Amino acid sequence: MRTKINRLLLILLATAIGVMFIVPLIWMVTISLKSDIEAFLPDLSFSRRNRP
Amino acid sequence: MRGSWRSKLTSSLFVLPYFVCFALFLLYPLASGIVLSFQDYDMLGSREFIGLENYKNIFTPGTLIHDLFVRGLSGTFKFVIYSVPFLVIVGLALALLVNALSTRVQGFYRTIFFMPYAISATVMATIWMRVFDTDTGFLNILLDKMGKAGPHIGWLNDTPWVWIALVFCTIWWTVGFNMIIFINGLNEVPEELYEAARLDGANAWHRLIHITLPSIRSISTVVLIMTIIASFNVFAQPFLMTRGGPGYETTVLLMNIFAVAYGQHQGGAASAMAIVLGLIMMVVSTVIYRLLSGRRG
Repeated sequence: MRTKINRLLLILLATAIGVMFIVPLIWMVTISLKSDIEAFLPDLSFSRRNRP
Repeated sequence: MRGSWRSKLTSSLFVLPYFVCFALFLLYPLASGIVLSFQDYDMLGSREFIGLENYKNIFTPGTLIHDLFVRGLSGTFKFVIYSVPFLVIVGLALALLVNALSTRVQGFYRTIFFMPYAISATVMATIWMRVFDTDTGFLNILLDKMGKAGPHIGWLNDTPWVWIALVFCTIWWTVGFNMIIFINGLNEVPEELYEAARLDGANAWHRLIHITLPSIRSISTVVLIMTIIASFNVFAQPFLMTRGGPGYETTVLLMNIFAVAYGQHQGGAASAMAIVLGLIMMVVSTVIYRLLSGRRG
């Protein structure tokens, strides 16, 4: 039981650190593709002010 | 006898492609840099042999070259001192964390932690400038929303925050490489040692201190020296993110070498500065290697 909890805690820790590593990259890709995505899918606009 | 001669020729031919590339891309630029450091070169065409004049200027207080060299070296040393411990310790910590996970998920987390290393310096700088911007940066907006009162923190234009920002984004960008080397080192540690330690009642901390760290000492030395050399060569982060500011706080030596070569049009002086930096790096690396190997013996 204790080993399972330890493993779960390790996975949680690795995930939390992994989020710090991956989120800036995903954020950058999203920003760079933002206008393209909005052009194709206007209803899913990222910016609220662009909505009618 | 004839067979031996043929064998030597064959092995030499195998080495030849590497040697040609080594000579063309490493030896020739190095030699021409050394020759250039003894010349007055305006980066346009005229070259004149001036002996040790460029080196004399570097070590003569009051000259422009001396001021730029000392100021840049001070920034570089600060960066090395602030970043190297974190890059080594965080790299080791991530390697230990990934190694402690089950083998099914190790590859996934290894990839995630290594991914930033694959992006270019300009992309890294663009990402973190958006995060650390004083007025519109994600971090200051987040701090505002969390209820932080007072003016925004100048992550890229105030000390000591500027160093924290530069070191943080360097860790994010390059620590994955150190982690991969440490993981290779950890995989070489015999499992029997851990089993014996467990039987003797050693806990995780004791196993780390008495088995893991001594077993990866040679890998740690390599990582430390490579990290020191990489940190001495810092250029992109301050050049792109702070332009050497606030004031000259984050102006590193490579930025000043670049400025002397392409701003002042003094190619010879810039070469001499680069060679002195190379010698400093060699001395620091040798001293650290000797200290760590001496302790091992």
